[in-house]
Amino acid sequence: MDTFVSLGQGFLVALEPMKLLYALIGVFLGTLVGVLPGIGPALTLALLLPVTFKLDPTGSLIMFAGIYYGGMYGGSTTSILINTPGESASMITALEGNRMAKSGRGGPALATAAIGSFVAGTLATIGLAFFAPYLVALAIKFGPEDYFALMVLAFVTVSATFGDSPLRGLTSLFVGLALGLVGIDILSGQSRLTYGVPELLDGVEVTTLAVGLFAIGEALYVAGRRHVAPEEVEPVRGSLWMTREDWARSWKPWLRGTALGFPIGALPAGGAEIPTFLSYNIEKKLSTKPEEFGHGAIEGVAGPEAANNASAAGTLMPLLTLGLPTSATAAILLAGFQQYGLNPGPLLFAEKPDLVWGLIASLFVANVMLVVLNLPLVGLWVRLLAIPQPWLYAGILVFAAMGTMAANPSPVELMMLLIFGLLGLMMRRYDYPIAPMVVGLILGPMAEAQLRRALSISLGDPVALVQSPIAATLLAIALAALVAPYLMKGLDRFRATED
Amino acid sequence: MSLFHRAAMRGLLAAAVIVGAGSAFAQSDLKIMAPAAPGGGWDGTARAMQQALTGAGIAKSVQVTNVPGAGGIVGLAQLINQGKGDANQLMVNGFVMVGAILTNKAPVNLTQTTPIARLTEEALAIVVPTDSAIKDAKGLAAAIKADPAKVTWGGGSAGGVDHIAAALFTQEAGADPTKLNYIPFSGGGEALAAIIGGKVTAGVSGFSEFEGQIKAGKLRLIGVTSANRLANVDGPTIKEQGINLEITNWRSVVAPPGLTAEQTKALTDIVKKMNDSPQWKELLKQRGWDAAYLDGEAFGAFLKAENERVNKVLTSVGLVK
Amino acid sequence: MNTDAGRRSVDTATLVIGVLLIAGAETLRRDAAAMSGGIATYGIGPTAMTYVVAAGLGILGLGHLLAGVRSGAQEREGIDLSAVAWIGGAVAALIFGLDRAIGFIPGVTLLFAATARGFRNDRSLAMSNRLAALAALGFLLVLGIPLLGVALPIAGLKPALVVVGWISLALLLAGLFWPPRTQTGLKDAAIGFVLSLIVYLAFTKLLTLSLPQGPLERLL
Repeated sequence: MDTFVSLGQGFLVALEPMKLLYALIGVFLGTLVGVLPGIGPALTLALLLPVTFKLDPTGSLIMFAGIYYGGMYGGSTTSILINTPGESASMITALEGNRMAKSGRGGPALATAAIGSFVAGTLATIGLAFFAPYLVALAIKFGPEDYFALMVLAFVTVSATFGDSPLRGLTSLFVGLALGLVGIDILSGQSRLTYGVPELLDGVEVTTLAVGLFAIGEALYVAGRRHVAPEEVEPVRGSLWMTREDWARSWKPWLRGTALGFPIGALPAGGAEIPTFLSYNIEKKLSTKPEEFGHGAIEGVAGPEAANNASAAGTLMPLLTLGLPTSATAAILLAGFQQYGLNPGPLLFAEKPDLVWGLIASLFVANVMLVVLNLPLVGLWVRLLAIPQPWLYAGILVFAAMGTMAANPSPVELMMLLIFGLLGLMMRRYDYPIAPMVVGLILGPMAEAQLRRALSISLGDPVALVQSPIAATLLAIALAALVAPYLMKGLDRFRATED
Repeated sequence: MSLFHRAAMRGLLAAAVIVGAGSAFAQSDLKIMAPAAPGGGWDGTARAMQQALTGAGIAKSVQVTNVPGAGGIVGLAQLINQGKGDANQLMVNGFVMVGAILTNKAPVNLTQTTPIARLTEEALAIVVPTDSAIKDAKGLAAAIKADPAKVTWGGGSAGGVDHIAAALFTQEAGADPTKLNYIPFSGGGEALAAIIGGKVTAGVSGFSEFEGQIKAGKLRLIGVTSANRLANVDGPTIKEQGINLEITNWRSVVAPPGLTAEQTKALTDIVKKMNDSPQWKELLKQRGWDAAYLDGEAFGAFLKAENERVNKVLTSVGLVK
Repeated sequence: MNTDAGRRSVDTATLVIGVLLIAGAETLRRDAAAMSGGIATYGIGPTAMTYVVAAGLGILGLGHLLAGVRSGAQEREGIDLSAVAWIGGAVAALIFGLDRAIGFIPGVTLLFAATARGFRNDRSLAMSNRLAALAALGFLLVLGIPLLGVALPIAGLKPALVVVGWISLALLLAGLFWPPRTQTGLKDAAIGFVLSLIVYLAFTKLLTLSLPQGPLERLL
């Protein structure tokens, strides 16, 4: 009951007209900056942090919330419209979203992303308000072996992005894993595959790979095949809005995405990417039209987008209750808190309840604001695709290069962007799936680090990997996901022979 | 998680300045390079200096640039190669850079710069989960002596100040530092979660990282690594418990190579004036930094001594060959 | 699949990729083998993952060799290389230009115009395309040799490379405005200029983000 009262007071703060204006400005600015590829929510927040300093703590936190959600939504917009993921967690969105946009269904794709984000954000914020202490207690129990098991599960789902050839899909995945080796090995401090280039010591940046493969690779491919197979983009075909069928196919993925994203986001090392991978895989398995996957299935946008947003609210949980910044965004929020001499942590709820509840309430407000602001804009966004092709792609290239320049100033980074662009061209030409490479780069280093931490703690005893009940359960699910399709096939065959 | 960490770094690289961009600035301007992403410790120091220098009217304008990468080595290389002889340029650095240079076999070295002054330091803290059987530094030392491999340490990146402190503690406890079982985590949050969750035996990091958790009763403070007890902290030093460990994470400023004695003195004077200004003192209080001003030859000697000490420790744990 | 399969019974592209993968696996293996032990490791060390990935790449490489022989020759539709040269050259020009401090606005303007030109690609404009291809080749040298130089340090080459870079830049510009498409080229460049100017001002003035400066940017 206390929670309700506190939350009510939070809303009283967040709903003052001036505060609403801050939220609106925040959402608007966040969307505007978040649209730039390579500039995800974390960088958007970092860039706009100084803007919020001029306000009082509550006002600035409310604007924070707006920028945060705006930045997340901006990232998916570019994924869908121009196949340029703004951040690693919206990479999966690009897979189906961009296919939809190219076949004139950009409107529904953007709408299901926006409403899905809203649904997920709202549910996850409710979860944050009511269950934070319990979930955090559970999250803390996760050890390296449990994370490793979670990543094994995520690896199993990669095959959903393989397309029709396991050989080519695995090749893409392993090249990604190899790229993940580059740089300083976090556990031993030694450098791998850097060949004396200091810029490589920090490793290959995920957004550089994703933007290079997706955006630049695509520009090269489309330009190179203009005479053979001119790309036909229809900005709008059919309804700009979601149809009854779209709704019917979207609402379950939203809920499932939320259910995946929120708890995994709450884990100190869970992340936003893993839930999107899991969600994509589940939606593909459960879809009534699995054949549409790879050609623009709305479930493949709705689920991962919801998962991505729910995990964002999930990361706030360890931050607010324990003071643990477990994501880039959370780290910046922490910096924002500290500017006002606030230290998130076990004492924050007790010491500054009005502020915490104000923030939680403003997350709701920002969420509503986002939908209100963006749904009318969907039509305008989609019109972007009507820009003449030379200018559209020239613009995409400019934005891609700019995001990289703003995020990392070195020529080495731009060079990588170019090399990955050419690689993306070759992969399209020879029909290799692109997503597994990015997945490999994301998951490889994480899985390796957790495995080695677990084994270091157990002094090399591999039994430790399955001793924890959490790890054992996750590994069992992974195994089931891996062999179930074959069993089913065998069973079908068995039945067929019986007939 | 390394990904988060990297994303955070990138995320914060916002204000970074492109390498090799021109440098046509007026003579009266001062430039401070933070060889790290905005938001981190070195960046915080650089921006605090900017605030104090302009606030106290010591410099007309101060520009902070960020050159992130590889524990500061990318920035250091730029200072040495492109900043040579630039009497308006300063760079923030600290303990971590000493280790990074050694472990990465960097082609550049801190001795190639012109040392200006040490500014601040922060003590590290060694903690254990509240329900741990280990109560104090002696207990921890005894456990290490029994079997160093079974005492797992959680902290920051390999070769960093946390790692070095753990190695020194092991050595002082009378065990073989090569047997140290140190588990680096890339984000502060992840390391804290592992320590609170009891996944590792002990944790070591900057005192401020643990402060909230110690106050909340989730972590037990074994000791701080400073020479004397910290003000406002109810906890012993490691040293007074009979383990001869004294290490702090210091931050300092250096200038490019190739400066004349007058230029060096002018820069030192500017930094000294800043250090004495009320604005700087106020900032130290706000951020909870401990002043540790040291300049001139004493600072040069200090740098050299730290370099030797770090080299020895890192060699003993096998990070430097 | 296709009628020529009988004559050329292997798929060259798949074979080449297979060989590249095996070469990649060998590179990884060597890197791991060269690592010098290091800190005390309980469990597995920093080389284990490298060996696993190397083994995976090696197996996949063999798989490609097998598939290349089994599948027979595949016919693939061609790629217009001059379009690739325009766009790849544009990004390379940006990298070279930023390294030489020409600044953000001119660099991005060039990127925009050359990319747009790649999409306007018209085979009748062979001369202009040839210039772009030459420029791309020049940039390949300028950016590629230092990359290789990491492994084989080539001293004294740098000034020559810079000259090649400037010549390539000039070739790309000449290609852009080669008649009869001068007008379109100018129009593209104008749009690129306005776009980059807006972006530059928004980033540096509103977001206080530093972008590369050249002579032009210092005036702003």
